[in-house]
Amino acid sequence: MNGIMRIMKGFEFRELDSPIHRLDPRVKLLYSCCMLVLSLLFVNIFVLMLILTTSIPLVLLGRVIKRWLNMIRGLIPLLVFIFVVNFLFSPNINGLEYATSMTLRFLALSSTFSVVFLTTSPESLAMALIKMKVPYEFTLAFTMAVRFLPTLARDLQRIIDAQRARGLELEKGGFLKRVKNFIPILVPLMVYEIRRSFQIAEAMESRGFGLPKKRTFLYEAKFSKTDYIVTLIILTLVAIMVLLKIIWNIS
Amino acid sequence: MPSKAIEVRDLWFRYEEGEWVLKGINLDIEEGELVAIMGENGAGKTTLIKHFNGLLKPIRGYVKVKGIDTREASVAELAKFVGLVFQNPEHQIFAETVEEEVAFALRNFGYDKEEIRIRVERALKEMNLYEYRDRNPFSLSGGEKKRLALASVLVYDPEIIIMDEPTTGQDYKQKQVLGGIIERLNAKGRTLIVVTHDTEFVAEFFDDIIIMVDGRILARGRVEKLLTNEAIMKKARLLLPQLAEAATYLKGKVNFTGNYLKVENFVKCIAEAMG
Repeated sequence: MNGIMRIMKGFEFRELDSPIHRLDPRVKLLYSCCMLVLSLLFVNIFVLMLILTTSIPLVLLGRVIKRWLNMIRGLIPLLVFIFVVNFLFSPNINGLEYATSMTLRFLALSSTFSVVFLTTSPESLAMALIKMKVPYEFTLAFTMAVRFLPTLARDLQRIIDAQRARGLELEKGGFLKRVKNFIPILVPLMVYEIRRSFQIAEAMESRGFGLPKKRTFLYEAKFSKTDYIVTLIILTLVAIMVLLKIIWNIS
Repeated sequence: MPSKAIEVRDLWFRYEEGEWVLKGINLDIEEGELVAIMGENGAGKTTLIKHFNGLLKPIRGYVKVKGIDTREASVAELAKFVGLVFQNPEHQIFAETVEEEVAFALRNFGYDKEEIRIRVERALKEMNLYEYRDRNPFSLSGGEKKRLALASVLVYDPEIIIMDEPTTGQDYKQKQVLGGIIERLNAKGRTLIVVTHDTEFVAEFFDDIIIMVDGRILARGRVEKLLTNEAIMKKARLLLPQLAEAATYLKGKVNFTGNYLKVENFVKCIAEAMG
């Protein structure tokens, strides 16, 4: 359970004042989308390493290194699993290389998205999406899902506490017993969250959600000089990589 | 000499990366005591009681429950004699029937079938839920769910019973029922610790209280001394119970003695003053 908490915390925004936090959310979205595309385009270990290393200046400048490292620590079992499965079922001859690049790809993707979520509030992400002409209903669903994670983690902890107080031992017994142990945790969690979602829907409707009016916003996103520079850096990086692929035929 | 149910020495605790939530708590609770822990939201009440069954372990200092250091025992071991009833019953209900829900703890502790049947029946009758035994617990009302959560802990008869905010969201009648249950359990010799900020409820059913402010214990003592002390109540940001407020108006005219925050004692004091 600790690992899951670590990973969850690695994607949870916390208010901080840093150059990365101040970046326009659209720049950060661009960064994560570009890294996503690049890491899917390449299997070359060095290129994937390079994509992973782009996170490092961001976590350092954004002062989120502790949570980022913790997130990676939480991912270790999953990384091992990905490595082993890809090594065993590798489609080409060099299984070791293939497994390494698949694991690196997953790590690079997790890292990129972790950096973006750690340093961007759900509200500003939503604003970025709206500015990009995504319909408000979709944006709202997205932000609510992101906003919901910490709440979900808190409820989960409360339920675990309540059941342990009644003598439930999560780490005891064989495999079947351990699976069974999750019933008293998951049933209250699901019932509780479904009820909560109805309550939220009612509360939103009673405040007039869905009225076909043009929305205004409290904060407006504007591109600063830094935003333009960072965008330029990201696009240059992407261009170089694409050229690498075309000219030197790196896979 | 009564022995200690709970002994807390210089307890410091914080959640990861956070500020200290408990700052050097010292506390003794004797066996058979009935005590309320009061304080505003965020004072550290719930964090403190989670130390009493080992859900949280001290970062500094220690907590001993019946002489056992909580750092050296599992929650399941401590739960056998410390029953903790949480604020929100929705965080624990999962079974298909009321009966099964109540039997959960007994199954975890390995009681045999016959014993489970007897104990579940007794607990359900005591909490006035026996007629609902085959119902789906999710279909119960708020008050009934709260009683169900209580039954699911009382069923294994723990020596120390801790309740977290048992009166929130309860109507007057439910509060009276709850007060009766607390008095009955205490008369049976159980140690009871109740966390609440419901001053009226405390005035009516408790004699001994602990007031917490900002991770520390501000005061401990008789209910009529502390709940009428405006300086303490202001510091703790608690509401004065109505009878305490009434007593301040009558100061000088009526000689209040004993626990005059209970209605019958209050009336007696006034009757005496009127001759």
